[in-house]
Amino acid sequence: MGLRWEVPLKNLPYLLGGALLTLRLVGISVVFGIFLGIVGAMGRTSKSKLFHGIATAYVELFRNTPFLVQIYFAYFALPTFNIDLTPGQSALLVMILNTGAYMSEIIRAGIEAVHKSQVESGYSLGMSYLQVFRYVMLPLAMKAIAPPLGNQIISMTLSSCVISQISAEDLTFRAMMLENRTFRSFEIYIVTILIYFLLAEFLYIVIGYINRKVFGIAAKQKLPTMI
Amino acid sequence: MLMLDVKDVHKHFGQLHVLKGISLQLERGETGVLFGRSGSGKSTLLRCINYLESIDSGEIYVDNELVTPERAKLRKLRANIGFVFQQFNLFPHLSILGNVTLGLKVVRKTPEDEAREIALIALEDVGLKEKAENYPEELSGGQQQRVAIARSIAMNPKMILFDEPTSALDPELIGEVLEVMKDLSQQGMTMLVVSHEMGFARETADKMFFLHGGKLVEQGPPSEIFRKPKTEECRRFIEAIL
Repeated sequence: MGLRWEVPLKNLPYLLGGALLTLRLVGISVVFGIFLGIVGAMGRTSKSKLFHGIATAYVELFRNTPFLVQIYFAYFALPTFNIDLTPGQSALLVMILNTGAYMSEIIRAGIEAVHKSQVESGYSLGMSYLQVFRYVMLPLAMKAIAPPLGNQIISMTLSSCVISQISAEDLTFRAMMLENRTFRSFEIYIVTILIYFLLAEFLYIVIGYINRKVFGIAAKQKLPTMI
Repeated sequence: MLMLDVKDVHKHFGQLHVLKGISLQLERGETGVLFGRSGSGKSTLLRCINYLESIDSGEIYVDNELVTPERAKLRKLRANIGFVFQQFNLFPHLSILGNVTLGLKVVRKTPEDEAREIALIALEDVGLKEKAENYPEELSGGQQQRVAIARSIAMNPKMILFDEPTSALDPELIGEVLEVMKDLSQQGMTMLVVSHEMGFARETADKMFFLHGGKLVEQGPPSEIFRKPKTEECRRFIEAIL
């Protein structure tokens, strides 16, 4: 079995270029996704029926349909309404909306876990709902949900490979292209898997660092052993 | 001059009629102590005064301002009424200084430096200036409650409401909190305190209010309440806790 590792290695810059696109898309989606997630979570916990209804519809729609079909819709169906997006734009749009929906639910859970007493404390100082949300509920919720939020980011990074289906030139797409040209499936996909793995590990380290520095969350908590 | 005027306030929790037409008044600079059995409506009444609970009928005036659910007015009213909770309710994600300055910065729009100065003075008043950079979890219960009082003082309120401020504390920590409250009272702060600390009431209160079954059964200065309570319920309650 003659393995030709020089094929993926010679094309490493090409593959890494794809990984860079993945990373860029993830970075932008995280920033906008957290913003959308905060607004979505406000809606999900809102007393206003309209705001609650819109937020719930958005969250349910994106969480209960396949990511790939959402991507197809953005790329193939939106042109019907004269909205022509490039593969990269379609991918980014759907990644933001999709991850925003998942983050809404995570942030909502965090907000609901904030103790009523701290919220009352804020109100009793004369704060408005938005001020209580911004200065009390959100920081407390964020600390509680930093770990699941991190997991969501990594899960999005890995599942973003489906954007290759609309020929957005991410890592998976470039691996497929390279395979089509050279037929060195084994070598190419081993290297591709390795790049994804390192990418995820890198994100774990970055997220872990942020959790420790910003939220003061210890890397590993020792649980008491019961005898 | 009246600071607090509660007029015939009724309040239900579902079927339960918790406040049955309460009326009471507190002059500017007075300290009132609300006491009575658990479930008598003391804490509920206190929470109604800054509208943490809504009322079903009646009126409450604080410094001649009607307490209403209208948002802008309510926020202004709350900023002017301090509230000290049984469980302190400090913000765990903020330093002690952050806890005391938050209301100033966000609600009063006080500039950072000035807010810091005001907060440090308030913390000095409760004897905790040196803890400014610590976090709530690093403080004892008594210290946390004193920070909560400083948080109220910093807002320069017209009145402070205390909801059982010492009942979550270990016995040896109660004194330091009561001491701070006594000082405040002597400085002329208007205070309404839900408490069973009868020593504090005897020394500090101008008026005492005995609530029983959602009704204000008896009121008067501590000398009368302790020496010759008019009602059988009040007499028995005082005997039980003294």
